[in-house]
Amino acid sequence: MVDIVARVVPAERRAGAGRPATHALVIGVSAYRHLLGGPEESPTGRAWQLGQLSSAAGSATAVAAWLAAEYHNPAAPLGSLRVLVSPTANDRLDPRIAPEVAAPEHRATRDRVEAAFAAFMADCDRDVENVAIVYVAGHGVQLTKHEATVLLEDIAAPGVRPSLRGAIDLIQCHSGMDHAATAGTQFWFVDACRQPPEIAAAFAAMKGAYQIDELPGAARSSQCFLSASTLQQSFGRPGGHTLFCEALLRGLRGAAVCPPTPPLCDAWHVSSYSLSEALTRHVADQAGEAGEVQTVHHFTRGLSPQAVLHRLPGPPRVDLTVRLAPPDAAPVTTASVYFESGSPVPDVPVAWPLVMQLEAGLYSLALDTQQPYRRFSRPINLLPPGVELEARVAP
Amino acid sequence: MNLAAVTGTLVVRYSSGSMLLTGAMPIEVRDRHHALVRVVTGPETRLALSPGLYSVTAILENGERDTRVVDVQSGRAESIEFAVSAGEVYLERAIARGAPLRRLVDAAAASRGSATATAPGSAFEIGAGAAAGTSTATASGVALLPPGQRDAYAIDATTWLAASSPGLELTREGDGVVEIAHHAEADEVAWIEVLRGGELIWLALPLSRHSDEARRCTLRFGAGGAPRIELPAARRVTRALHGMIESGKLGPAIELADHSAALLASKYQDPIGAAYGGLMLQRFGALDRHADWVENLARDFAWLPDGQILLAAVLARRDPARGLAALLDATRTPCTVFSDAFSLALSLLRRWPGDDGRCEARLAELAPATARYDFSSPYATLRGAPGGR
Repeated sequence: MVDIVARVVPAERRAGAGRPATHALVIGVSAYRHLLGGPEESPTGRAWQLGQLSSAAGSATAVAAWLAAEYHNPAAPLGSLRVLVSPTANDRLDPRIAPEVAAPEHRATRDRVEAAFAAFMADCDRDVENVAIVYVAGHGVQLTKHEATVLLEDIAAPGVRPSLRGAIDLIQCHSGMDHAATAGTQFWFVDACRQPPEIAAAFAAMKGAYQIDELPGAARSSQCFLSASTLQQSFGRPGGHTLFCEALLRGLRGAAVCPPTPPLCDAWHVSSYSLSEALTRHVADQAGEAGEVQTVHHFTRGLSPQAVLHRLPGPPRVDLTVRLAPPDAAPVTTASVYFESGSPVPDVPVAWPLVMQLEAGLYSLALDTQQPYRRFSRPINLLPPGVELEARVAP
Repeated sequence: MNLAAVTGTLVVRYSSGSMLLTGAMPIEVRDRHHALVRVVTGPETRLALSPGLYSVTAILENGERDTRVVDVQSGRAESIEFAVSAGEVYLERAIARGAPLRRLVDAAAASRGSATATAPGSAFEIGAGAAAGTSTATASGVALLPPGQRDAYAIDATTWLAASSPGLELTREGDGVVEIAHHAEADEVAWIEVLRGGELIWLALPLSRHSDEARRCTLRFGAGGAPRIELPAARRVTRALHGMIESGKLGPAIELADHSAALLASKYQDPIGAAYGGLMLQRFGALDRHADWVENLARDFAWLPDGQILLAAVLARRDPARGLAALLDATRTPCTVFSDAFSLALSLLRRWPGDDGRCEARLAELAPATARYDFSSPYATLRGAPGGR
């Protein structure tokens, strides 16, 4: 069984029977059996000039681990976590997930993905208050700005027709699950290594990728985040995670966290809007540092363009770092941090740079010092992922 | 209790050259716990607040988020103003004073002793043996130029102006910077072709003849990738939309598009901006309730394929026959203004309900262009000319 939720999530954190739940389907394909470098290279695989990847499967297990350990939605706790991965020796699988997905039944072949998807949809269809989360990483063919087909482990198998039998048309599946009788809130993450245009053009005419029926009506909100890198080299760090996965986890763990915003959400949360902004910025920055272009396209289906993916149990604790300028002032300078006027925060470190963790909020920082240095004070807007600032006490 | 004695006053001002932006941009006021106190819009709001620290966040005209922290004190008024800064690029650019750029197509034609040709699409012939996307005519055009004349055609060290749509005045303002003015009176998608690193790149431009502001833009060619297109400061709403979308600030962008798209088409005579707003609404599932102005956009600016594609999206279920006609008309070439429009067109062609084969045929016709399309650029960008082989 590819649903590992009972093995990795304690019962008290899982959804109760008959209650709304979050259902997750996570797929990562690094090992391609019939492509270049695979154990059974086929003529088609050689013709396509597509090789093995090194971070897609590892990224999928990292996302699965986050879902298992950190995902928080009191209205729809995790109810299922289906994970299919096809790793290479270069993949770094999350140690909490790796033992649970070692069996062959977890390989991301067309038949297994189809079966897992069917079971996933059946779970989602049980309650419109359910939440659906899909994450898929691997070789992708991007035919338009907003479409992507992801190749599965057994693509290009010799003698198999149609040509794209070993692939999944994720955007069509996203469209197909946009109806009124399934999970009302959906988040889809497509992490695809895009092919050069001349290869993509060949794929445009191919058929056979996994698709689902399209039903009438619309879900409450169905978000899709599609990230397609321009070149394989920038898709991911060998033995690490894809840039998109890095950005996604960074966003979920802080960069995309925003304060309560009624009526959308009364808790600290990650919304589709905040995630879009964080993903757009981080992916572009990281790819740009590598001299590549990688963009994140976010689009929606359903009735509402905004939804909440993750809720924090309480206000986040945020890192505050204050560097002193000039450093020579350190021996004679002490810091006080105030949340409410007249009441300093206790246990402020005396060492410089000042490093401490506080609950997110608005604070006042005051530095007392001696001549020739000058007192310093300023407000601090402490928000995830953290604040670093320089305090200048120079005369 | 005298409330005035224990509360302070926070005055929030938002000034923009656009009443639309001033009225549509939400400003969030949060207390020290980051709890939401109020969301305000408009040029000035006065709030009575308990003393303490507050954060105030606004989205500026360039799409950037600006957050200030203010200390509200009992019996006193504190003011915050969000405004465009004199030092930033919002100010109207000076009229271009640089050197006019010449087109390689003219040089190539002159070298053959023939009249200048500036037909839509590429004026070049792809020579036998030439690599896909390059043009022997442009390459030979550059080679034919005496070294002393090459600067007149060069945008920067590796980029040459190859051709453009009729009526465009292009002026080089600096290394890699081109100011473009649209003087044509005909309604068609404006475009340029550049030869960059030996590759021909076709790029649509967000220009129209319908207002002075909509006739100008600036191209900046950087180290790699598609050039950046900057709109003049007066196209505030379109600039703001673009800035927000490109930086992923979707909430404010959708809000602004919701308020502004119809006005952009009718009152501000900026059909390009209206189409962009419409594409954003379509991307986030909010276009259907704007069907009326989409019809108006497609009717009043029938030359703009992006508008026709939006109409097709709205009509796909309501009136498939009319929607299909609009879609097929708009996709006779891949020459939309925005890549989102072409992407939407391909998706519609791929999934049109009850297609009788015409959509599939059109997809096949567009396949060569689709293979050369740069979807990472917000504007329609093709490697190699749209009609090239």
